[in-house]
Amino acid sequence: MVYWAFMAEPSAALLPLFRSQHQMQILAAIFWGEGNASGAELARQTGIPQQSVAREVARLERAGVVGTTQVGTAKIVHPASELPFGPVLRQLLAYAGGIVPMLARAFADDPAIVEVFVFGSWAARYHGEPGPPPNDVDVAVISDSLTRFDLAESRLSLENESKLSINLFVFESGHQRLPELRAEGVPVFNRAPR
Amino acid sequence: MHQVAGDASARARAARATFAQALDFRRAALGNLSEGLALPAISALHESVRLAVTALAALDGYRFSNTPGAHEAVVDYAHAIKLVDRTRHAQLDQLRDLRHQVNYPEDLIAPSSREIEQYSELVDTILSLTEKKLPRRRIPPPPTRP
Repeated sequence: MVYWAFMAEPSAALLPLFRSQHQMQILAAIFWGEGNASGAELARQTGIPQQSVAREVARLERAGVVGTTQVGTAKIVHPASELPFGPVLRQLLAYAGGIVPMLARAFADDPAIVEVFVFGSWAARYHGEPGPPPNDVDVAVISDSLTRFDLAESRLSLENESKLSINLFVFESGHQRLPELRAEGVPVFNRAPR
Repeated sequence: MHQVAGDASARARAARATFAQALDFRRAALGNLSEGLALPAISALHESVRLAVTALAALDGYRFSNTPGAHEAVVDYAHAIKLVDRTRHAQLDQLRDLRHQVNYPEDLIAPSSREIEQYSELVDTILSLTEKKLPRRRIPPPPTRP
């Protein structure tokens, strides 16, 4: 256990261009997240230990990919301005995890939506399961009153913004396949009473 | 999508023939629904609206190429010629996407009756708008009396 910290982090199965899964997730949160997040906030968003976040942010800052601004005691992290490959990187990061905060922004304000998560091959790669790159993102929306038709504009806006192919699945809260799909999924939000 | 040769009357004939097929598929969708076949109904609704838009393209002298992405091009064409607004464009694209999810297990994609009604209303609206844009068939003059 002592030398666990020195072991290499797992590589990113979803997009194995990045140094590690952590690096990919942190970058996705910086480029597509709520914006101007501190290290603690990035740790909360990604579920990665704050110490690892700080190490990765320092590495990315040295490389000029992200910038930081000291606000009080917190160091706020943001994408580096005028990064020559910024738009391309942002595009890649939409696929690499940025789609999750995008989905939250698209659906979290709708009180008719109880829960959203990503499932299928994209979620499997995100969790590190090796395999071919997913062609699309399967999104489960849990609602007892809405249909895919009702959410058509949101889906198309998300596709236009992310340049990803998004398959929307709307399930009623009692759908029998939900526990199985949710168990393998990547949560976006869930406001169902537990 | 590419241009096709033919004068205006030939294009109008082609458009009307394609639109007649669109109406056939609309009727097929109703038949599927009466038998409780939701996914075949979705497929027929999609085909109906695809052919309706294809009819308008034929009238304009265009044909959609039989290549990947052709169905998306049909949906986008409907928006480009202002047959549908942004909302209906998104709804049409959702119908196209649902039609292409046939590889998923049925219990994941089966539409609710309300959802099928929504797509049916959309398709009926588009069929009606398309019909208004098609030139009416000329009625031949009455035979001259001796």
